[in-house]
Amino acid sequence: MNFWKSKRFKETVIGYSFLLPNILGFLVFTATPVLLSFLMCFFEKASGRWIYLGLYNFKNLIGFHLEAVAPFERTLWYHVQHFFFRWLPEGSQYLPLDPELWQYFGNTLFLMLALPFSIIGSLFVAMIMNQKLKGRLFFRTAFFLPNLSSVVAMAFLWLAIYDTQYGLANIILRGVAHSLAVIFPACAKFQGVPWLSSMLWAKPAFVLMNIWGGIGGMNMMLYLAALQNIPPTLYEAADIDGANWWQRFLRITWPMVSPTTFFMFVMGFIRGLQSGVLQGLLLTDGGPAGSTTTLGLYVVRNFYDWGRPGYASGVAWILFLMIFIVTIFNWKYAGSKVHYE
Amino acid sequence: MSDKKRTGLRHRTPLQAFFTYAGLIVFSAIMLIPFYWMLSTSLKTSEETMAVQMVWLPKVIQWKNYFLAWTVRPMGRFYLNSIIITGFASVIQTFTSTFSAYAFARLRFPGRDKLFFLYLATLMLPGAVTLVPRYVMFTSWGLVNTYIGLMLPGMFSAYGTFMLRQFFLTLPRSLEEAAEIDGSSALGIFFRIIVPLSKPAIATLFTVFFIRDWNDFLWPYIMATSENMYTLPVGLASFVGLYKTDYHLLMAASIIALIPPLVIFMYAQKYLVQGIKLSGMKE
Repeated sequence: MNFWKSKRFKETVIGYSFLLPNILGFLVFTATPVLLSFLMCFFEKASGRWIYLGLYNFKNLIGFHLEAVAPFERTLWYHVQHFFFRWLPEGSQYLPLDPELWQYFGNTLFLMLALPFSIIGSLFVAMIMNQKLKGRLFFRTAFFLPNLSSVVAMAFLWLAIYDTQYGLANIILRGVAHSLAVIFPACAKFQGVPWLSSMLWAKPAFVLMNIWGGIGGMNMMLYLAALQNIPPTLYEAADIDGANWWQRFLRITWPMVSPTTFFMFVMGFIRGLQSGVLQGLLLTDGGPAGSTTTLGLYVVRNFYDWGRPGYASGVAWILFLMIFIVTIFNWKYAGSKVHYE
Repeated sequence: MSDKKRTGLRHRTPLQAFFTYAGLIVFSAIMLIPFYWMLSTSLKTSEETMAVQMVWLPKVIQWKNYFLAWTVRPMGRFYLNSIIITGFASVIQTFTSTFSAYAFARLRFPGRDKLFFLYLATLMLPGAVTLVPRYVMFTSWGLVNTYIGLMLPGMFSAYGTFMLRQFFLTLPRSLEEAAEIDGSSALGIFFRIIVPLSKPAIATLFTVFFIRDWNDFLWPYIMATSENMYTLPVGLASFVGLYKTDYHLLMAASIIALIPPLVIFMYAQKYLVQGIKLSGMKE
């Protein structure tokens, strides 16, 4: 039989012509950059030329070196290291070659504290919205607003809210403090929280902002869909047994939406690892003292501001590795921990 | 959303109705007060934004802030750029995704499943991985600071392909089989059966693409090097260096940027709910 006239060949042609417009773009703008990015990890650009460095970038990123510590500078960290690494010579300790990477990794994890709060918040909003309501369109739009607006606009909004003197947050806090001054005179001195300008407050300020931005939106929609898939008979049976609101929530709603919750948590974690670029750029410039720089922003800084595309690619692939591990973990354990119908 | 399905959570007692509305009001207050602050600040004088006390309402509403925000930077140009780039990118992205999703969902050809797995795998990739080499590639092709360079990467998406494929899999095969027996070509089946059946899902995807492309920041931020190529988010961001503490201007400009996605959402929100319910995004 002639292959060129066979059904199999015809199917192949039709299949690939449907795929063609997308796959061209996919190959050029996704697959090729991924390969290039992987190669770039082993190179660095210096005065317009790419120089092969082998594993040098990775060594600098995640490597450690020994450093001498004066006796009066020995911290708890020094003693912990000496407890675990018996071979360390007296008076020296391991220091990361790129301490910023570790600091920014910590920042990235800290900012993810917003995740559980915004997921739970979205569940409650969805439960409220999953009823007969007047003004459904109004409320749905209200709960979608932070997700609709550009992150730049939201960053500006929070810039205005977090202003130490004139911001909404401090105006409200001052109002509360001054009315408390009747009982606690010390409160009268309260001037406001230096939200974005202090190392102590910048990260919590970001977390609060992310909780607010994460409630509602797509999470709410996904929960709404999940809630509507719960068979009403379950609630009817619970009613007959005389279950109260909390029992119904704990025994029916929560287990039934747990796959959705788990999905959101994993997706949120993956997104969280890459987040914070724009907020860092616009709100705090990554500061004070790098306390709001995330790994994502570190990539952009390395490549765009400091002209180190190779090093930046190294950071990006470390990020990818972390996401990969989370995904594998997800595949392996999703089944056993979560209730599926 | 049929009311029949929602009987599981009807108001049982007046008390429960009370708690429902109380919760609704508290949550929407948390969501809306910052936006109210945004709106009221955008209508204040610059002196009123510098008040340590609460100013709920400006004494005289300053509509001219919007005019100012529109003119101190070439906002009209930013708008035009955004409309051109977002329009082309999201329309073409919807087309390419629909075609490829159909191929992955229904057509048989060698290498299909391997390719689909490759698509899926890229969903995991952090944007940072492709950002750097894309920039290097576009620089060497001379596409930096051009419309083509700004919209090209937005025209193809693994995400859209995946979502639509999941939806196509839920469609009944019998219609297509009947059409096949009647001698319809793959293209005929696609346009006469699949596309009409999937309108809500396609509309949802378009909305998602539009909002995402409209608000996209990082790519235009590094691609647009001169002001006349800035998109709205990049143009908005350029306010911060110049008018960092002119909150009334910042807020007015932000609201100007917010209107198009809001309008699209209001228009498409009923599809959005249907689409999510249908497109297998449930889990």
